[in-house]
Amino acid sequence: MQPFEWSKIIDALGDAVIAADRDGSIVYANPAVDRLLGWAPGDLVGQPLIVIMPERMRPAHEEGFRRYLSTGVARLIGRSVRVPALRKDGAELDIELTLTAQRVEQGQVFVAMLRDLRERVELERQLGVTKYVAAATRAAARLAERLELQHVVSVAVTTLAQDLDAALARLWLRDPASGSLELSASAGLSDQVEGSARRRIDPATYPYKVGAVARTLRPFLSNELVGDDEFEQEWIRREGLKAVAVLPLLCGGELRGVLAAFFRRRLADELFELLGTFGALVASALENTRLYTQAQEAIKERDEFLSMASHELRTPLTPLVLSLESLRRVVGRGDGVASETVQPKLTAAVRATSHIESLVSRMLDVARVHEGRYELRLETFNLVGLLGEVVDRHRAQVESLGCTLLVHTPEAVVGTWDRLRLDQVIANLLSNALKYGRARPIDVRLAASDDQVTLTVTDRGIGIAAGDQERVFDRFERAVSGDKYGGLGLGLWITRKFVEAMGGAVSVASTPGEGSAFTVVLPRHGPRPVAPDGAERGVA
Amino acid sequence: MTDATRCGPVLIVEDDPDVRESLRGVVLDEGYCVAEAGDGRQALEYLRAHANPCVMILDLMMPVMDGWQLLAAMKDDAALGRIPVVVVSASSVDKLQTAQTLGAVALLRKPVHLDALLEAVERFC
Repeated sequence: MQPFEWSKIIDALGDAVIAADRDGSIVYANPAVDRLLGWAPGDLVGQPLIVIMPERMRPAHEEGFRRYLSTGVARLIGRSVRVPALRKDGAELDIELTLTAQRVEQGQVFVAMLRDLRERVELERQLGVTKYVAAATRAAARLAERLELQHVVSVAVTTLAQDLDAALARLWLRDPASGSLELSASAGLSDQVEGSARRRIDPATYPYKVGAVARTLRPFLSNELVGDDEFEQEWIRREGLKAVAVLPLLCGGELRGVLAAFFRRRLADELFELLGTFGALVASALENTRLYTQAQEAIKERDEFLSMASHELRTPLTPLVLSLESLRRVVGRGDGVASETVQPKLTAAVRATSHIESLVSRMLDVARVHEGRYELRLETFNLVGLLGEVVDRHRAQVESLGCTLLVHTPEAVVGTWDRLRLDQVIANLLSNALKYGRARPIDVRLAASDDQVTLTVTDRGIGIAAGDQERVFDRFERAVSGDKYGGLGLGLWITRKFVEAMGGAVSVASTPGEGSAFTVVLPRHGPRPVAPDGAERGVA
Repeated sequence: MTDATRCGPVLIVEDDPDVRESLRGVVLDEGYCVAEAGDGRQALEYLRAHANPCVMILDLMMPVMDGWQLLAAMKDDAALGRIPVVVVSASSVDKLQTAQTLGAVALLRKPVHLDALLEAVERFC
């Protein structure tokens, strides 16, 4: 049998294999060694082993080599260690070295396998970036959890300190009125070095990086704290801080704040880039809280205005209503001509004031319904009776329009609802039918089963285009022009809110030019209790 | 129902002169006697100097001493605590109801209607 050609096999290995004799001279190096260390093929053979070691490693190597030869005590043999290697061009690279000692025909040889760690280092770096990307993604979700300023600033600094390995993180918010920066949150070392942070900074005059970043709106990112006067401070040296990122928090080109973080190690470019992205996330979360607060305030102001206006209008309506009603009573007792000419005018005036009164009530309802501040007052009563009352209130209007109103109901329909709200629902539907019904006959139909009631108000009026049928239930939405038909566009919105609060639903079927049928379906015995997660919604 | 039998009087506590005037007018028309006060403090002064009215018509939002404060003061006073109080206010239903816990016997929301007002007064005078 032919002897095995071991050297051919070793030559073909991807890993570098190098051998030296007792004198420390290289006796073999496979092509992978030449490639790794930048030598011409074969040139390493005959060189002393120390040529592949950085200068500073050589004394330790020679001492260990001598000790092994004289005493047989090995420190490295049989182990793998991570060491720097020297290339022919003088550059260093990290390798993993596995060393063995062998006795062969020619005597003792030392065989070393060198594995290039650069790929592994790259892999580790990528894993590091992946970890940070994951942390930043989690932070994005946390930032969006609550639309509160304090929440956002505290998530921003704690994420930097806990997940992105910052030793210290601080966030200054810009006060839009004065333009100054206020320290709003810190995490990490801040407790020990609080004295070093200025609570309030005027960017125009503040000579340090935070000021410069606020002025230029450009981030300051550095791995070189040594040599920069600003960072020549006892606490920075003591804590071994090596890198800093100072980021402007920008939204639409406008400065909202500055985020600063110190790190105990140098950061790869990718990490600086990731920090920039994180800063943008924080800035947009800050902007969201600002817009949310603004919207809340605007809604609150409007509702307060509506409440106040409603209250203010009620007061002067009081003498108006009392005087008119009192006059009507006096005239009603009287006789002859005065009574005949005055009575219809008074009736018109009384009707007009009660219309104003209902508009005023409705205005306040908008505010209250919006705030969810109204409570259902459930009571058990006969819906047929309530329907009769509401229809009676509209008799005068029906007669003055000269139209007919037909009511179809069972004998009695007793159930549990909010009487006042349901009164308003029926009144809204009737008013709409009268308003848009072109004085043609209107049908009101009530049907009941054991657990629900269905009320339908059908007119033969102008109708609603298909595209507008959903929209009519929205606030301030109307399917017709405001010039031809007055009103606030609130009636059907309030109707829908009240019907839904009672656990029911309202819908419309309509053909333009032929009329509309509004249908309210309500549970007969009060709304079903809604499960905390709203799972019951829409079951009815 | 002659005028003489109806003189309780009705005490109207209301800061808005137009509202006070119209309340006074319709109550007088029905033949009741009327006394007036422009705020809670004036009402208290009146009550301490005169015999009890048969009913008090009380606004809630008033300067100096509001309706709630007056109700609270009357509640603490054995003689005044018995006077029936009809609240007539533009306040929200919730706020009106707080007056009920302070002892008001009826709550009427502004604009108050003639029938409802007279019915409330008639109950006590």
